[in-house]
Amino acid sequence: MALTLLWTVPMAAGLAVWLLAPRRARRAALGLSLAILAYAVWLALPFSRGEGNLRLAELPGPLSEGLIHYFFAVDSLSLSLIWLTALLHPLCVLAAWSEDRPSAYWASFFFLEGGLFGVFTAQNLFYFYAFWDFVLIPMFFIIGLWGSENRRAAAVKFLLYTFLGSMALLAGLVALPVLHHRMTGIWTWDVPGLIATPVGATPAGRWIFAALALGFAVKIPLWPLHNWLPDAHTEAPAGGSVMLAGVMLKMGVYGFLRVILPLFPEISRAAFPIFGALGVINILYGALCAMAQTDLKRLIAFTSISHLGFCVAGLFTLTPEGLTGSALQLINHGISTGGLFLLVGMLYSRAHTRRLDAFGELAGRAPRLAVFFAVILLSSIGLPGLNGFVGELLTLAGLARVRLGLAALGACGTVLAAAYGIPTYQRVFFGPCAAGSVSERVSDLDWRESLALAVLCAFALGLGLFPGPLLRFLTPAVALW
Amino acid sequence: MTSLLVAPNPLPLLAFGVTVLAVLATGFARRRPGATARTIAATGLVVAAARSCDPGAMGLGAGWTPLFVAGALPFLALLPSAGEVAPALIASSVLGMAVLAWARHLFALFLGLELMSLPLYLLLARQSRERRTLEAALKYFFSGSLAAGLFLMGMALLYVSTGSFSLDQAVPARPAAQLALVLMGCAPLFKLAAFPLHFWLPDAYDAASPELASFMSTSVKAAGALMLLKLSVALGPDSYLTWILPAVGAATMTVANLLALRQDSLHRVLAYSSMAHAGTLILLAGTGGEGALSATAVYLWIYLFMNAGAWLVLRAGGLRRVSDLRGLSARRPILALLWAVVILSLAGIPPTGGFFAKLLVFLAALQADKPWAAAALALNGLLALGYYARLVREAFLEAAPKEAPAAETEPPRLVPILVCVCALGALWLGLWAPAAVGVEAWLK
Repeated sequence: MALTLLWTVPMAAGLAVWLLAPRRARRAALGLSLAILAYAVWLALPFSRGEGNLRLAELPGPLSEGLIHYFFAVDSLSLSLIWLTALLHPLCVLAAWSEDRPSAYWASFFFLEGGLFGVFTAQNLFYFYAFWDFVLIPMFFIIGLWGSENRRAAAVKFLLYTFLGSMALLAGLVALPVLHHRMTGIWTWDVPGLIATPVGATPAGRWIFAALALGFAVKIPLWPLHNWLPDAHTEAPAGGSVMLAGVMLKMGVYGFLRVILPLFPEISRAAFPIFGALGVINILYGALCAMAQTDLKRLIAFTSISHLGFCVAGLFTLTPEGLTGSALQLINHGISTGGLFLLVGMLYSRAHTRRLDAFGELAGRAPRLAVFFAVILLSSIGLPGLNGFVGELLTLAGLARVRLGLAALGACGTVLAAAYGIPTYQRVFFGPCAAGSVSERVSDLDWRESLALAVLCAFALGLGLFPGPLLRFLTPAVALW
Repeated sequence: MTSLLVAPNPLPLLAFGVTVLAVLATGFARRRPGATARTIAATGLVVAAARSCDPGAMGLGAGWTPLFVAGALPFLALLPSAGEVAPALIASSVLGMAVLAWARHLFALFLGLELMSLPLYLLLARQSRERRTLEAALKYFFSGSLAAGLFLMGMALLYVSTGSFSLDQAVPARPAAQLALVLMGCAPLFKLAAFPLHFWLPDAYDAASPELASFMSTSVKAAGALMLLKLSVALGPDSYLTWILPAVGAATMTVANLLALRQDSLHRVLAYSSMAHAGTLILLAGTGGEGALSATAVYLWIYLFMNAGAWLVLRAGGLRRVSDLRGLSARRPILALLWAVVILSLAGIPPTGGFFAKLLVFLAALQADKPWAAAALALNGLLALGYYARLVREAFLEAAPKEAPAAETEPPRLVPILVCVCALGALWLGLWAPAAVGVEAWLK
């Protein structure tokens, strides 16, 4: 019941907010999203008492009794991602308080949140896929209705491109129970049921692996399937970018962790050269592209690609360091990139431009903005003491244990991160500013925006200084080595 | 396989016939029959369908008639209330479908096919006196006649090689008998507009009113699918059809989805969309076995709601071209929302019924060991979203034009209600059916 409520309550909240008058809708969205956050945190209490890795399981009957049956459960990885989603949602509401047509806008966020909770808790792959595809719809409308100039094309591109991945994923997911049935005579679509038999060891397993990996790779996105991401992020409204980068990209990595690695351990180990290399390409390619951008949001979009490269490379090392590091990196990236997109959204709502060279001398005009931007940017770059550093260090350590050369290349990514991050900051906050430039329109943050960013900075600092508890919490869920 | 063709109770079939006669009889009344003919037709068909369904076993028989009648009801309900001819034509077309469902003999099958098709040509030709309408009807008639001719030729060939017209026996593996099966298969493939037998389709659907097009793409396609299943599952479980059909289905989907990408007329987009779904059904029929039967039936019920819903939205909004959709969400938000539901369902996006239907076909294709068919399905899912996304984009994301396209005539009050029923049905089937239907029972 606890988990059914977890995804149905946001859906119901979405319907309620949709029907409210605009002025009420904002307050209701904030209140309801905070309530959902409180509920998600409360889920940790029964968690501490349970046994085993999967908790709070909801099953109508015995395991493996049918193909499509209602089976939801959480483990520590799911729960961490649920917390991240539930945390980012109210922050989006706070930071983008003046978005127009707020009823429908915030309703879309609730539908998105409910769908994401479904993805992170479903243990039956039918429900997993259903929620996986469902989240495309609210995001399509968020980009297409509230985005900037090229929003329509970007929304359609986002939908079609990610649906390419979805179709590959569907073919792979449907093949799993068919193959399982052929081997055991039992129909099941539950992840625990499928893990119990060596589906991955069959000749068809390699094709299924490829289809699933294609599906998840589009979502992450892994080079060369990353093309949808810069446009979607650039055109999406601030809140949409936060959820897209903060949580939706994680679905891809989550899929690797939940489905591919447990089901195909041998093939995954054998595929390390491919995915390790792709991960490192992501790191370097994303960082190099970020250096060349003149649009702030595009720049951050490419840093996302770079950061998720660490996750993918870390996963496929199948070492304790790599796996826990990439799980941690998921959370860290949600906090730092979510924060960056919030900040750029605030700049855009004041200056109505995202062009890097339009800004300058903001440090004097908006000191609070400058401080928060500095903390979040440094966390994203991976400064020791802030959260980004821990995840990157661990994934690189894992990579170094398997292939030192790749780790060295990957480490260059952190240098490149400083090379695009610091000059950007310098340009925007200390750079020269012509008279009459948009910078003069930039006022400092109001209390709502400051509150949202202060929360994120607190998490960045807290996780940077004390990563231990979260790491210990995540470890049992990703212990696949 | 004979169990699939158990002799059904003939009385409901008589009820269908009586309905047709009763509707025709209203023509003798002194006053113009008005709505009476419509009411009699609708009541008679519903009663006959209710009498003929057997919830235990849908099989390949009378259990399909509720599907045919449900597809005909919106058309019947939205007829202009003058004259008994159109209700009689609809009723006799449905009677033909019922005969198809009852048929256990090839002659009965042929009779049903013709009884279903002839009223359709007339219904299409009666739409308007415009040249293109008559041209479309004539095209439809000629291609249908060709299909009937091929069917008769196949029958003759089968009789020569087996000495029987019965549907209760499997066709031997002799080349002549197999060829006969393939020739007979052309008739339902014409009705389903399979590639390369689809040339009548865009013109016919373009000339038809949305209600007629909805009837043609739900009931008639369902009857075509039933006929195809009778030929492939009952008559030839080990025939050439089991590998020809998936190939034809995949080709049909691909061609339809590619053609739909470049259409400006909403009627043509939906025509190609229905052709693509028919391609999926053909592929499903080719996976063979009783699983294909149940899956096809579930697919058709879901398809009935989403497809009829889409056509009825066109009727409700007076929409003709894709650009007419612009600003729909601002003009008529609820209609736009229902439009989004049926279109996303046709595209197969969860949580709608269309997703479950698509999933069934994936499962059937992989279970029948045809991974290439699954790959074709995946590719086509993506292609199809290309134009469905455009339909949603035009309705929601594009700004309204300066002057809204004026609907020429206010549609009947019933249309919005029917749209609601269809959209909610498509949504409800997506939420309820996956958990309620024991999928694995079909996948033996």
